[in-house]
This record gives sequence, structure tokens and C-alpha cells, in this order.
Amino acid sequence: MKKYIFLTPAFFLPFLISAQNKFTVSGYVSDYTSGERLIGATVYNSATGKGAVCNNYGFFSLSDKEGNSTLVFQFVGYKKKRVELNLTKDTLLNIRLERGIEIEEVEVKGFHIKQNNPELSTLNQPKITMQTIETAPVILGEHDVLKTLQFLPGIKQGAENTAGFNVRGGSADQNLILLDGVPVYNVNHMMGFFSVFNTDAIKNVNFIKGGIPARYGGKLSSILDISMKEGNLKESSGIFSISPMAARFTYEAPIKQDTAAFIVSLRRTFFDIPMVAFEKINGENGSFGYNFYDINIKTNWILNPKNRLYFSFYTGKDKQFATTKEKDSKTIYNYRWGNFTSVFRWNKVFTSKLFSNTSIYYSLYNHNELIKIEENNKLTLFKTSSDLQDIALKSDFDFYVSPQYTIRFGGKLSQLVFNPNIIQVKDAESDISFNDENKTRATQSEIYFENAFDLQKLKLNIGARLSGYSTGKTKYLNFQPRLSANLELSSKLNMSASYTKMAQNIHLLTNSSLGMPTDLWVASTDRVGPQEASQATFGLSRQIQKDYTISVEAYYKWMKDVVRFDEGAAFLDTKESSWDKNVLVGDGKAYGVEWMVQKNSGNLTGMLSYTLSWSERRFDGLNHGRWFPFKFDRRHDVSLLATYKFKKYYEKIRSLSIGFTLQSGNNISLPDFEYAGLLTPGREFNYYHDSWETVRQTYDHPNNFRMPAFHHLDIGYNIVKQKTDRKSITWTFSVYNVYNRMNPWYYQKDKNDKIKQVSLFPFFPSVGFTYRW
Amino acid sequence: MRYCKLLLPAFIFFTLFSCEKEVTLNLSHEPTLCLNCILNPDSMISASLSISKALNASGDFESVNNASVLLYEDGSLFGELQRTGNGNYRLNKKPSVSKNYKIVAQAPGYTSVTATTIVPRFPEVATTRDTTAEELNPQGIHSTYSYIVFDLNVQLFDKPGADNYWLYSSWIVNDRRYGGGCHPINAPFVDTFNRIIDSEEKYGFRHFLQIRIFDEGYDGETLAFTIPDFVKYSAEVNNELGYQYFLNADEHYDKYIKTTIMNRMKETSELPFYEPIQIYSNIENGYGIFGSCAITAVKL
Repeated sequence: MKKYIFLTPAFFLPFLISAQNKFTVSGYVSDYTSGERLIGATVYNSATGKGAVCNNYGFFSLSDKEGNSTLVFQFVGYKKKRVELNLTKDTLLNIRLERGIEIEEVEVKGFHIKQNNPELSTLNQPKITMQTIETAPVILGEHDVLKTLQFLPGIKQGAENTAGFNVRGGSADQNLILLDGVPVYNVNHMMGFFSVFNTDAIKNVNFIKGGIPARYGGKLSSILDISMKEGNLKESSGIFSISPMAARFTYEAPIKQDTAAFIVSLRRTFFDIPMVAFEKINGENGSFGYNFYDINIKTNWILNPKNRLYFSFYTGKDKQFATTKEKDSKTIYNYRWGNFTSVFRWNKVFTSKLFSNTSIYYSLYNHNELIKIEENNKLTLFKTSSDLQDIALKSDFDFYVSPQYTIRFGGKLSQLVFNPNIIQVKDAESDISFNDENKTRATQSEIYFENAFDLQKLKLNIGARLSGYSTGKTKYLNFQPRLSANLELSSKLNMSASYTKMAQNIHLLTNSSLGMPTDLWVASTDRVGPQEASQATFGLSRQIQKDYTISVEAYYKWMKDVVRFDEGAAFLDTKESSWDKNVLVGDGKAYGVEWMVQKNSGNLTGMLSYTLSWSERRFDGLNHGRWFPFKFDRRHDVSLLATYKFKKYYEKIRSLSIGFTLQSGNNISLPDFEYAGLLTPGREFNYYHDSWETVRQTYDHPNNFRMPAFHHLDIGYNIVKQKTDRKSITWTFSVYNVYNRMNPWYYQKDKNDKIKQVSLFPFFPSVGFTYRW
Repeated sequence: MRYCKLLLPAFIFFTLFSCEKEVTLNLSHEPTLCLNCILNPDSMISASLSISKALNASGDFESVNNASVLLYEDGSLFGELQRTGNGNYRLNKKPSVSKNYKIVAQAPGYTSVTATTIVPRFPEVATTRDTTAEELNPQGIHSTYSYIVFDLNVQLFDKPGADNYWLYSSWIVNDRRYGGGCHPINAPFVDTFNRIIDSEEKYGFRHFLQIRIFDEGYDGETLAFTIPDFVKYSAEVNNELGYQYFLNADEHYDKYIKTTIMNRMKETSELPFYEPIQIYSNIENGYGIFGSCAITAVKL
């Protein structure tokens, strides 16, 4: 009974807060020249300091007392705009901000209005801007969201220069990666060396790794929410970029001015062109090559001030091909993999305080391999395919009860279809299929409820998510409470804490950690249930002088029912197998402390961070059930990403950027000792035995060997020449691995049993060119 | 084949950008007792003891000849294994099916090692033969000798409880005996861990090194299957079939064989950055294997 008495004030608090206000100003904040909605723009009453932040669709709602007031709208990189109002009724405002003086954080009456999720610390929700991504030094001239993220504390890259990342001791499949709200299941091109996200088409990146609000769910470790540009509502514009790796072209224009617009963005690599040309010139009887491409399309239509429709589409494919022709035979080899996502969204403003977004989306990831041999009119076919389809309907509501209290709630219903590793072998005599029994359907339903309080010094978000999952006769229900709080101890010192419980119903089966196309998404079954994780964080953040912020945060994460392949099992092998008989289910734990210094304004901006962390796993059927280090258990990690902007000179803006990473090496399983072994059954009859038969080379526990420290320094130099107000040319020069550090990518034994270290990325200069109009 | 093609992009990258150098890794290892002993109700008990060594250490394994090796049966001392030299130990007794055995080996200067096993029952098997081809009156240069091709139809009468069967055969060529492996078997209870798709094979696949049958989902049932295409030549060919063996392994020996085969599969794969398999060991404070098996042989 006592606990209910204790909870009573909390129940009535929202209503007490809401009772003080009368009218509401609501609307959208957008870019003056393009009409692009500005996610995270802020609005505040200059007299009272009460404020609001625009949501993911640029919508804000601010309630205030009747009478005259001055509202100030602002956003990073834009000029402030003041609007005088005589508030006598609920008012709808559409505000356009002009690009101008950059401001980094809004200061109102001694406290800060943060852009998104003010209850989260800067380490739980590190800010990463498109400007940072576009100026960071890169390899092969391709800017990459996922690689830039890897400079943040608590985020470890997988293998060198791959887009896969591990957050706070979690595995790469535990990151929810959304493109316009749609999960993207494979984010890798070319074995993970490049991500599928074309930076020219991206408007905003929001990344959360702790205190994850209840509106997000489905993965254990982090949320990466990427929003595509919407399309220019005012006038046509475009971007053409070229790098040694690929060319990109983006075009956006109004369909009807101020009402509807579209954007199209294309990217394609050049890898196959010189190969095919060479083969043609040499008159080869066949061809081989590799390429990938991405296509992003988005349109939006403002029906009226209260209704807006969006349609987004993305597809990207990697393709390997090889054809050989001889007199009586022809062999065709094709291997393709890629994503297809599309989403239809409807933004609806029901009242000045109630905003909703309803989406219906479809996401597909598939890979197909085909080997076709035609010989003397006989056909032999070998075909494998895997796919994951996700169809969902979801609705999200933001109810702005008062400037101090916002309720967010919603739900999602999705149908998942898994067809992993379906194999067909066909010839004149037989037609055999394998793994048809692996086909699975699953239904997922989720609801959530968030209470966000902004009590001046205390920002609080209390919520929960309930997820139901059913496949066949198996059902799982997971209740996931979420709590995050940020307390302003003084005008410059903040303390934050959070607790998050997450559940993940789907699993990625991988044993390469490289983002291989053969990595398989599979559904939870009666044998392998959902993964679960709980994470607690505690942090402090202090502003030093005007520009610097120093933050520290500790975290502890428990993981339950994490999966990994059983020893030796892998879908890289073309063999029949039911996947859930080949995996081990176990526990994980990860803990650590992150430090970060950020400089957000001035000519020099950037961040320097250090992370001390541990991550371990335990499986009953492995290593005698004892804990062992996770592959990416990197004890130390120092990262620096900084940009210095030089003074504008003859319409040229130049900047120099530096990226530096120093980390403990990855853990690998490497045999480090040997002992006498027994022959396998029947081999004792033989008079001769190979050495491997009588010697066992092995290791004491998985991931027993830590590779040498991993570090490299990268430098980028950008020149932007502003030709007119609209037209600009950008040259990007980058040097990856300036001092030519040979970081080991993997080890292998040669024929003489000597161990060879293979390094992939030595000193590597590159140049990129961008033309905007 | 598939590996190569899957890795074409990687190959391109490696060719263009990779650097390779020989390295000496610091592989420190504490020398530890290694005990190998497989109990078989048909054989006297033998074991071997040696010392493990770091991978980059040179020389052969050091034998341990001064150890005390005790074997317990269902908690009572069954006997002490006697030294026979070169790290080998022997006890002139046979173990019994379904009994629980514990081995304890102590050697000066090393932590004593121990392990347990329960001897599994003999596989109960019935077989018949179907002749699928024969050439009894050969003519011409390609058919010099008579031969018969037959399939061996097997009924394996599984008993309740977990069993792990390994199949292998022996044969003689030019008076020299050989053994191992098995013809491919197409049956749902055959473990697929070492199955490799190969369109040139009879069923479109083959098994790497050995065939394992496990009774999960078929516990206590009769497992019926066919081992195809045995070729029996006429007497003038110095090439004769031996036996088909059915080995029932306890859980430890089973895992030991399985991880050994998987590791070999990885080692011989074309994947450059394969991760090796941890070889299973049930020896506490040491390495090696203490397991048991019971074998049924069928004359071919």
C-alpha cells in the first residue's frame, strides 16, 4: 500500500503541470531556401524561458499564458528568428530559418534546451552532425556515417575500415539502424568496407547508446536513426560527387512549389568497369567483375497545414559476376545481395498539442547465388538464396500536454518472413533442395508509452515498451521498462542516470564479423528465444569555459540469451543444416567508463575521448561454461576527431580535419599450444598418418589472443569554393594511415607453418570532388 | 569453390592494398599434462601421457614415464595402469558397458589430471545387401576383372538414451590395410556438421572425413539407411573389402572427434581468415581426452 501512496504525487504531477497553461503555439520549423524541416530546432519564450524542441518531423508545440509574448526560433547553423505574438487562441505557425551564424547550444535563462531527448547525457546520445561526417578524413574519398560514428567513445569498429560497429560490448547485430524509420538489415557494401548510406541524401543522424527511450525497440545495444532529405520545396538543386571509389548524383526539386517535392540520389562504384574493359580489349571468352549501387528516392506532399505525406524508397545491391564461354560449355556465376526498403508515412496534426506519424513499411534483405553450367546441352544448376522480409504498420503519437510534460505513445505490428540458406542442386537426373524447413514466419507486436518531463533543472523520461512475438506455436512477451534522468546540479554541471531494458527477437548468424553477405538473419524459435539486455548508466557532464564540455559516464550491461554459432558451424559452408541446432545460447556482460572532451564552437571543433571497457560472453557448451572475452573486448580506446576551419579567403572556405584512433587489438582465437592427439576412428589401420592426425593445435579459451594495438592517424583537407549563392565546388583530400601503421587484419599460416600477418590498409591518399548547385 | 567466389571483392582488395609479413607471435604456454585414453569393452585398457608445448616450441612431445595412473570403476579402484615405456600405460583388464570410470594421473612437477566417462553400449546392427551392378565375364581393356557393386542396407537398433554413432570402414589394397571415412549416406539422422555440397557425388553432397549419426529425434527407434556402392572385385585383384564399423562414442569422445574434424575442415578451407575450433577436452587441469566407445563390425 505504501508504494501506491508514494506513487500518487507522480501520477498527478502531469495534470498539475498542465493546468497552468491556456493556449498553444504549434507548427513546423523549416529551412528558408529548401523548405526542409529542421529536426531538433528549438523555440522558446524570451520572457519566461519556456521552450520546446522540434521532433523528427520538425514539429513543435509550446503552450503559454494568454497575452503578448516573443518567441525565438533557432537552430545550429541558422540565424535566430524572433516572432511577436499576442496569444489569444491556439495558433499554428510555420517558421523558416535562414542559414547564417552558427550556434551550437541554446542558452535560455541559465539553462540549456538540448536538441533531442534532453534527459539523455551527451555520452548516451552523442551529437554527430552531417558537417562532421562530411569533413572527417576518409578512405577512398567516400564519406561514411557509420565510420565517422566509430570515433565516438563506446563504439568499436569491427575489422579495420569496416562499417560494422559494436556498441558498449554488444555485437554488431544489436544496433537498430533505421532509414526514415525503416530497419535496414544489411548496412554493408563490399564485405563491410563501405556502408549503404549515401551521405548526399542524408539530412540528419541521431544516435543513442544508453537510456534508450521507449519509442525505440527491437535491438539491444543502440539506435541509429537516419533521416533522408525530403526534397527541395522551393527550387531545384543538385549534387554531383566523384571519388576513386564511386560517383554520386543527387537531384531535388519541387513538384509543386511549397506543396510537394522529390529527391533522387544515385551512387555506383566503378570497380567492374576497368575489369570488363580489360576483358573486352583482350578478347577474353568471358567476363568477371564486382559492383554495387544505391538508389534513394523520396517524395513528400503537404496536403494542408495539418497533413503531410511522405514516400521513401531505397534499394542497394552488390553484384559479383563471372561468365566463361568455351566451345561446348558456358558457365555463369552470379552473386547478388542487397536491401530494398520503402515506407509510406502520414504526418497528422490532430490538435495543436497532438501530433502523429503513421507509417507502413516494407524492408527486404536478400542474397542469391547462382552457378549455371551448360555443357553439351546439359544443364547443371546450383542455387542458394536467403532473405528476410519485414512488413510493418506503426503509429507514433506526441502529445504536448504542457511545456514541461510530453507524452509519447504508439505501437507497431509487423510480420517477418525468414528464408535462410535455401539450396537447390539440379542436373539432368535430379533436382534436390535443402533447408526448406528453415522457412519461418513471425509476428511481432509492440506498444510503448513515454512520459517526458522538463522540470527546469530535472529532465526525466519514464516509459515502457511491451513486445510480443509469436512464431509457430511459440510466443514470447517482453516488458521493457525505461528510465532516464538528467539533473542540472549547477548552470555548468549536469548529472545523468538511466536504466534500459531491451529485447531482440531476431538474431544475426555470423562467424566472420565482416559484414559478409552470407550473414543470416533468423527468427527466434522455441529452442532459441529473444535476446535480452539491461543497461544502467551514470554520468556527469561539465561545461568548461564557453566552448568546452567534459563528460564521463559509467555503464554496466547484462545480456541474456545471446547467440553464437556452435564451434565450427557456419553458413559460409554450403551444407544443409537447421540453424537453431547449430547455435549456442548464453550470457554476456559488458561494463566500462567513457570520458569525452568536446569543443563545439569556434574555428577548432571536435572531440577527444577515452574508453576503458570489458566485454565477456559465456555459453554452457563452450569453454566448459566459463566466461571468455568477446571478440571486440577492447580494453582501451582513445579517439580524436577534430576540424580546424581557416578564415574565409577569396570565397574559399578551407578546413583541416584530423582523425586518430588508438585501441587495444581485437581478440581472436589463435592456437597457441599443441599436444599429442588421437587418430580419428578407423585411421589406426593406415600405415601413414599426416601430422595433423596425431597433433592437436588448440587454445585455452575462445578469443585467447589479443592482436597488437590498433592505431592510425588520418588527415583530411577540404576546400569549398562558393561560386555563387547556390553553386559551390568542394575538393576533399584525405590521407588514411599517415604514418603507414601496419595494423593486422588477420593472421594465416603459410605452407611452411610460418605465421603471416596480413594488413589491408597502408598509407592511402585519396581525393574527392563535389559540385553543388 | 564457393568460398573463392564469395571472396572476389576481398581478393580484389587484398591484391590492391594488402601487405603481408612474417611475424613471430609471443605464444607463451605453461607445459601441462596431456592424457589420452579411450576405453573399449573389447580391448585392454591403455593410456598415454605427455606434456603439451607452445606452438612455436621445437621438438617432439615429451613423454611422461613416471606417473601414477589409477582407474576407478563406479567409485572403486579398478586398477593401476602400468608403465610400458614411451609415455604409455596399460592395465590388463577390459572395461564394461554402462559402467562409470574415473581416471586420475599424477606426475611429479605437474598438477594431477582427472576425468570421467561412462562406457556406451554396443551398436546393435542388422545388414542386408542389394547388388546394383555386376560384371562377371569381363571383356575388353577397361573391364579386365570381375566385380560386383552392392549397397549395404543397415538397420541400426537404437536404444533409449543419447547415442553418438560414427561410421567407418576398412579395406585392403596390395596387402596393405586402410581405414576411415565412409560412403555418403542420405538419411535425416546423419549429422550435417561436415556435409559438403558436391554436385558430382551420388546424393549431391559428401561428408568430410567421417560420418556421424545421432539419435536426437529418433531416440529408441530403428534407424534404417543404405551405405551405397561398395565394389567387390574378383580374387585376382589385390583389392578387397574389409569391415564396416559402427562405433558408439560417449559424449566426450564424440565431441573430441567432432571438434577435431571441424578444425581440420577449417584448416583446409579456402577461407583466409577462418577461426580455428577449440579442440574439446574433458581432462581437468590438463588436456587430451578420456572417453569410451563400443564398436560393432560387419564383414563386407
